[in-house]
Amino acid sequence: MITTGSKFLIGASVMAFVATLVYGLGQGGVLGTVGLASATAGLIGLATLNAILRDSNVFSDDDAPVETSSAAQHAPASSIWPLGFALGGVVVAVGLISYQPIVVIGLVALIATGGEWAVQAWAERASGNVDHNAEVRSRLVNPLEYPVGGAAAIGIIVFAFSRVMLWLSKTNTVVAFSVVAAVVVAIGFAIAYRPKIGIGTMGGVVAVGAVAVVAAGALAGLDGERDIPTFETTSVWQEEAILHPEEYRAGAEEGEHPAEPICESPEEFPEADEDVSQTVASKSGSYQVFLTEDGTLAFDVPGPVEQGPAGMVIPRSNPTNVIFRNESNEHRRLSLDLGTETVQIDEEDAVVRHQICTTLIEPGGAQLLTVEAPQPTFAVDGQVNPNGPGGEAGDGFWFYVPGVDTAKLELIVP
Amino acid sequence: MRDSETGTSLTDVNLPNARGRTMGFAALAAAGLFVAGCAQNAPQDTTDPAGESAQMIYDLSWPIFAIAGIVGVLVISVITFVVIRDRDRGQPIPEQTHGKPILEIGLTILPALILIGVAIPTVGTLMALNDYDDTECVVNVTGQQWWWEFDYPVQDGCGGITEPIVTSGQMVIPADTDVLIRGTSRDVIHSFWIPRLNGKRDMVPGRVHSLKMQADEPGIYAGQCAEFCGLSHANMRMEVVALNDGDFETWKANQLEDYESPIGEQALAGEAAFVANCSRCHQVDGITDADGVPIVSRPDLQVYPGAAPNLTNLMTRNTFAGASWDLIDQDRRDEVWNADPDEFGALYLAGVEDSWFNEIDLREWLRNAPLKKPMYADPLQLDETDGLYRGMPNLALSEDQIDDLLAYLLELK
Amino acid sequence: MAIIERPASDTLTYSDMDAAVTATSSYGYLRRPVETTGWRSWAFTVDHKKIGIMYGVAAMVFFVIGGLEAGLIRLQLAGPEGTVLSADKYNQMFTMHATTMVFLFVMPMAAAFANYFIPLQIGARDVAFPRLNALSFWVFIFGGVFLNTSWFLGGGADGGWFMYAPNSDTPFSPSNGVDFWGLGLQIVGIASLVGAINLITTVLNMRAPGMSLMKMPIFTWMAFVTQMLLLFAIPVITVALFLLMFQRSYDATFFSVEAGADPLLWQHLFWIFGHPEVYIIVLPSFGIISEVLPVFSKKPLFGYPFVVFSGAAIGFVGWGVWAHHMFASGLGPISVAVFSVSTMAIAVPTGVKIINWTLTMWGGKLWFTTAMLFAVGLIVNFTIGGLSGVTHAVAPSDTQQTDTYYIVAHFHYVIFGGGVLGLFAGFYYWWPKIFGKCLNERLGKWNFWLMMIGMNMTFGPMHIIGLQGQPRRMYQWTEARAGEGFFNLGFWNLVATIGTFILGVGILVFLYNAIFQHRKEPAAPIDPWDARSLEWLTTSPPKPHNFDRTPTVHALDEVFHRKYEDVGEGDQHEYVLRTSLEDLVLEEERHADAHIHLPAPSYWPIVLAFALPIMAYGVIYTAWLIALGAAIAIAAMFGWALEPADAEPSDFDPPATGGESSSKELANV
Repeated sequence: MITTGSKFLIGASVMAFVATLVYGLGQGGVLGTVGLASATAGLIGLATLNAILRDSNVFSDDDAPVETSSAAQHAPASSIWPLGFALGGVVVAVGLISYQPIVVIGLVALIATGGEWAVQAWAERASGNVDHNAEVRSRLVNPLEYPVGGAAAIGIIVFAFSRVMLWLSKTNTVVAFSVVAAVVVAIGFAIAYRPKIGIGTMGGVVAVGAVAVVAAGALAGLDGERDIPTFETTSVWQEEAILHPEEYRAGAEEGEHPAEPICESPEEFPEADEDVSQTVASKSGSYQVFLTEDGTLAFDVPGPVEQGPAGMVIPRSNPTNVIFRNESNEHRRLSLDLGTETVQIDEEDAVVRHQICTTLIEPGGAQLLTVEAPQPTFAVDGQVNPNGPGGEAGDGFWFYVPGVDTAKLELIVP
Repeated sequence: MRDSETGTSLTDVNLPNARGRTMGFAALAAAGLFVAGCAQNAPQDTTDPAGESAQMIYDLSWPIFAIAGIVGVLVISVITFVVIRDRDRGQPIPEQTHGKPILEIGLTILPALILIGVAIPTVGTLMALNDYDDTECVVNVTGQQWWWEFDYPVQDGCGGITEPIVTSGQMVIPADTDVLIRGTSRDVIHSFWIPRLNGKRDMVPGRVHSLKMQADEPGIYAGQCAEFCGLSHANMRMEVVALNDGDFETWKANQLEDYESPIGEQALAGEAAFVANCSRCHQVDGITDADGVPIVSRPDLQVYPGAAPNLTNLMTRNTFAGASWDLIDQDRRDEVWNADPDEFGALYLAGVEDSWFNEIDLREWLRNAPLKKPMYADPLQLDETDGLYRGMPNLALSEDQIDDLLAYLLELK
Repeated sequence: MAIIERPASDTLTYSDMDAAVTATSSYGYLRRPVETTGWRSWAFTVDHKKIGIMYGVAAMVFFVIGGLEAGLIRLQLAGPEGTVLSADKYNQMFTMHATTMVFLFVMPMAAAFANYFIPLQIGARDVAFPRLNALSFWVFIFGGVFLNTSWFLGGGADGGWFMYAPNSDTPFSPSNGVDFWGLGLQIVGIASLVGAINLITTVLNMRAPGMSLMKMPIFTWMAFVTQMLLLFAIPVITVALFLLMFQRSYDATFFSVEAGADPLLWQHLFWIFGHPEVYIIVLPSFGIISEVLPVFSKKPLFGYPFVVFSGAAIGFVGWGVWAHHMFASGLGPISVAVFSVSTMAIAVPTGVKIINWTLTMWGGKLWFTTAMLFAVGLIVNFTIGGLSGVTHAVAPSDTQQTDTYYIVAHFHYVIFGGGVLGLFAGFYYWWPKIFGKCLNERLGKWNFWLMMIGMNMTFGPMHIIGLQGQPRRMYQWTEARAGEGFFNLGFWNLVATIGTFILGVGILVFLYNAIFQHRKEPAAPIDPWDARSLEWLTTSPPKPHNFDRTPTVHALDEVFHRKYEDVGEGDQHEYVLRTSLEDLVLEEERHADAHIHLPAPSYWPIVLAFALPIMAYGVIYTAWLIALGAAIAIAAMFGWALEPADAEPSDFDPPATGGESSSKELANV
C-alpha cells in the first residue's frame, strides 16, 4: 500500500513530467523547460525518498503506528519554510516578468525551502518523541545542509568582503583589513580568557560579524567598485598600428589617439598611458636603463663591471627584465627597436619593424620592460634602423626615447 | 685535499693566516691521506679548493667538520661506555630518578654555546662570499636543458671585450681574477657548480643570480648541474678553464676572428651540409649563403628553450653536448687535465687537432643524438610544447654527410 | 562521542506516552555490519587496533615497494654508465622511492603505532571518532594505490619528490606521472589531516582519570606533537599540490615564468611543509625509543619534562627553518644568514634528546633485547645524521654539499637512522602486545646487525661520494669524473650498492620473522619486558574494549609503580616486586566495568574513501569520472549520516554470565 504522502508526490511528479513534455515540445522555451524538468527531478527525488523511508519505519501494512507514532500527539512545530516557499514563488513570478536570471534565484529558493519543508513535515511524524524526530531530521538533511550551507556561507562572506574591499580606496583597504584582523584577534583573546563563555554569546558575536560583513558588502556592492583603472598594454596599440594601418589612421584623424605608432610617439595614448602603475616588481639583479636629465640614455647591469660605451648586452632568446627609470623632467617612454620581422597583414606577408615600449612614465618614475630578442644583432647588419642614431651606426637594435633625439642606446644580442 | 703541497701553496697566495689551520687539518686527515697515497681525487672534490671563494668555504667548513667529528666520537664513546658498563649483570634495580634539572640545563647550554661559536663565522663568511664589489670580469651564464651557454658581454672588464663572445660547455676565464657570473635559465631551474671554485648557485628562469668565482692558477675545473633539471640532468656538465692573462687575450682574439669558409673539398661539402641541416638551430657567426647574406639560426622556432649551442670556434673547446663528451681523445685529455699550470694554456689553446680528435663520440652524436643523450626529441611526443624539441633530434644524416660534417666541424677554430 | 553509555534496554520508552519506537531501526534500511570474522570484520572495522594493524601491514607493503625502487637505483649506480634503468625510468624511480618511503611507509607506519597505542597508553577504549579513523586509513590506502597505478598508466612521476617548478609543468614532464603524484598526495594528505584531528581530540579529551598531560607516556606525547605538526603542515602542501594540479590540468599559470610567476614560490610552499615533515617522520620514532630505553634500562626516562618540551620546541622551531633547503637557490645573503642561524638553533633541542637518552641508560640495568638494540642503534645513527646536519646548517658549507650524495647520506641517517630504526624497535617491543607472541629474538638480532651494517655501508660511503662532488639524481656517473685512489667514486658507489643488499637481507629476515617464524613462537607472557606504561595493563592482545576497567592513573610509569614498591629508606632506594602484571590484569578483570559500549562497524568509510581516487582519475582523464566519484561520495556521506548509532539489538552478545547486575554488552567489533 502506498502512503498518502507518496501518492501526492508521485502524482505531482507525473504531472510535472507531463507538463515538462507539453511545455518543452509545445512552447520550446529553454528556461521554462529547464525549470519544469528541475521540478520533475526534484519531485521524483522526494517521492523516491518518501517511498524508501516510508515515513520512518511506519510500514504501510503496520496498523499500530498509525495511532501510536503519529505526530498527532504533538502539535507541529513552527516552521519558516512555507514563508520561504511562498517568497520563492513570488521571486520566480517577478523574474519571469522582469529579469529572467532572477528566476534561477527563485527556483533555488523554492527547491531549498520546499525540500526543507517536506523533510520537516515528514520528520515530525517519524515517531512520538520530539527529540528523536529532531535527530531523524538532522541525520537526513545535515549531510546536505552542512556542505551546501557551508559553501554558500563562505561564498557569501567572501563575495561581500570582496565588494567592501573593492569599494574602499587602495589605501583604506589596508587600514580596513588591519582593523578587521585586529578585531578578530581581540575577540579571540576575549574568548580565550573567558573559557566559560556561553555558546549563545559566541554564536551571537559571530552572527553579528557575519551580518555586518554581508550588510557592508551589500551596501558597497550597490555603490559600485572604486574607480579601478584598466590598462591596455602598449603592445595592443602597437599591433593595432601595424596590423590595421587604415583603421588606425582613421582613428588618428578623428583625434582618438596620436598618429604615430605608440612606440614612436612621445604623446599620451588613451588607456595605455593614463594612470599607469609605477610600481616595479624588482626581481633580483635586473638590468636598468636611465633617461638622464640631459636627454641621454645610460644603463646599469648587475655587478660592478662597466660595460663600456658600446651598449647593453643581453642573452639571446631569453626574456630579460629591463627597468626603465625616467630621470628627465618630462613624461617619457622607453622604446626598443628590434629590427624587422615578417607578419601577416590581410593574409599577406609584410615586413614591419618589431618595436616594444613602456608606457609614458612621469619624471622620477620607473617601469619594467621585458625584452626577448630571438635574433642576434648581426642578423640586421646592413639594415639601417630608423630609430638608431642615423648613418652607418644606425644598424642594430636600439633603445630610444620618442621625442628625445639624443637618447639612443644600442642593445647587443650575441 | 689532493695533496698537502697544493694546500699550502694556495694558502700562501690567499690567506696566510689560514695556513696553520689548514696544516692542522691536514694532520688530522693524515690517516685518510696515508691510505689515499698520492692518487688523484675526483675532479669535483669539494675539499680541494682552487680559488678564493672555495677556499673561504673550505676554511669555514673543516673546523665544523672537526667539531662535529669530535662531538660524534664523544657521544658514541659515552654510549659505548654505558652499554658496556651498565649491561645487566644482576645489579639491583636502579633509582627511579627522573633527572637532574641542573645537569639538564647545563647540557642544553653547552651545545647552544658551541652553535653560537659556529654561527658567527658562518654569517661573516656568508657576507664575504656575496660581496661582488671587487669583481673585474663578467660572464653571463644561461642554463637550459641540458647544456650551459656562456656569453661575454661587451665590457671594460676581462681585459676589455668589444664584441660579445658566445660559447658553451666550457667557460674560459682569466686566472687569478675575480669573475662575476650573472646567471639565469631559459627553462627550468639549473644549478651552476664548480666545486673547486665555489659553492653552487641555482639559476632560476626569470631571475638573474650572481656568483663570484676565481681560479688561482690556470687549469681546468670540472662542474656539473646540481639541481635536478629533467631527463638528462646527469648529462649537463660544464668546465671552467682558467688561462693566464696572455693566453686569455689570445683566446679572446681567436673567438672574435672573422669567419672563413674552409678550403678542403670535403670540408666545403660539410659546410653545405651544415647550412642545410644544422644552421636552423646552431649559429656559426659569419657564415653566409651563396649571396653573402649572413645565415642567422632561429633556434627559438625549433627547440623549446629557444637556444642551441653556438658552434663558432667549436674546436677551440674540448667538449660538446653539455660537456658530456670530449672532442679530444683520452691521451690528450689526460695531458690537458694534468698539465702543469705554466704549460696548460698552450695545451688548451691548441684546441682540437686531427691527431687527437675524438671522432667516435661526435660521429655517434651526429648519427643519432637522442640515442647518445636522452632528450625529448621524438616528434610524436611533442604535443605539450607545440612541436618544439627539447634537445637535438635525430637528423637521419647519411654516413657521407656525417663524414663531410666532421671534416667541416674540425675546421671551426 | 564514540563511546556512549546507553541505558540497559535498547528500546527508547517515553513515560508520558504509550508509543514505543525503537531508535536503532528508525532510519530505514541502513544497518551496520556485524561480522566479527572474515574480511568484512577488517574492511568495515572501526576498532583502532585493527586499523592500526592494517596501517602497519599496508605501510610494510609500501616499504617493500619503496625498497625495491631503492635497490634498482643502487644497482643502476653500482658501476659507471649504468644501464639497468633508462634515464626516464631512473628519474621515476628516485621520485617514487622518496614519495613512497615518506608518504606511504614512514608516515603511515607512525600512524599505525599512534592508532594502536595512543588509546591504550591513555586508558581509552577507542579514538574519539572511530569512523573517521577508518576513513583515514582507507583514504590512505586508496591514495597510495592510486599513486602507484601510475606505473601502469604511462610511468611514475619524474620530477623528484620535491617536484620543483617549472620542471613539474607539462612541457617538461609530459607524462601523467606528475598528475598522479599531485593528486595521490592530496588524497593521502586528507588521510593524514583526518587522522591528525582525530588523534589530537583523542589525546586532549579521552585520557584516563588522573592522567595529566605531564603524566602522559612519552610516545603519546611525541605522537601528539607529530599530529599537531601534520595539522598545520598538510594544508600547506595541499595548497601547493592544488596549484600544481591547476597548473597542469587546467592551464593555470601559478608557476609559469613567461606569465610573470616566480618559480621560487613552489619551493617556499614545498619546504614550509617539507621541513616539519622531517619531524613528522622522526618524532614518533623518538617517542618509541623513549619508551623502549627506560623499560630495558629499568629506569624512568631521564628528564621526562625536558624530552617533552624539547619535542614541543622542535615542533615550533621546525616551522622557522624551511629555507635551509634553499641555501643555493639565490635568496640573498640576509635570508640565508637568518635561516642558517635558526637551523643551528633547532640542533639544541635535538641534542637534548640524545643527551637524555644516553643519561637514561647511564647507571641503569641494561637488557639488550632486539628492541633495545634498535633503540641504541637509533641514538648512534641519528647522532651521526644530526652532526652531518650541523655541517650544512653552515650555509656556505651547504652550498658545496646540497644536492650531492652528502645530503643523501645525511637525510638517510636521519630518516632511516632516526626514523626507521625506531619503528623497528617498536615492532620488537610491542609485537607481544599486539599479537600475543614475541618475535624471535635470535632472528631479531640477525635482523638488527644486518640492518646496522647494511645501512652504514649504504649511507656511510655516500658522505665520501658527496664530498667528492657526485650530485644526486644523476642516472649515471662517469669514470671520467670518478677520480682515483682511496676516495674514488667507483669503489664507494659499489660499497654502497653492496650495503643496500645487506640492508635488504636484514629486512627480509624481519619479514620472515614476522610472517613465518612468528607462527611457531610460543605464546608470550603478559609482561615479557617488565614494562612500565599503561598499555600493558591489559591482556595481550588487548580485548576489543581495551580495558576491563578504566584505569585511574597516579604516576608517570603507572604500571611500574603498580608492580614495584620502594622499600628503601631515605636516599636509599630498593625496589621489590609487589605484584605481577598477571595479577594486576586479573584484578582489573574482577572489577570490570558494567555496560562497556563500543562503536559498531560501518560500511561507509571505505565507500567514501573509494570515491576519492575515482575523482582523481577524473581530473586526469575525463570530467565524467569526477561526477561519478562525487556521486559516490555524496551517497556515502548520506549513508554515513543515516547509519544507526549501533548495530541491531539482536546482534549483540548475550549478557555475560556471572555478575548479578553487570551485563556486558559488546557491540560486534
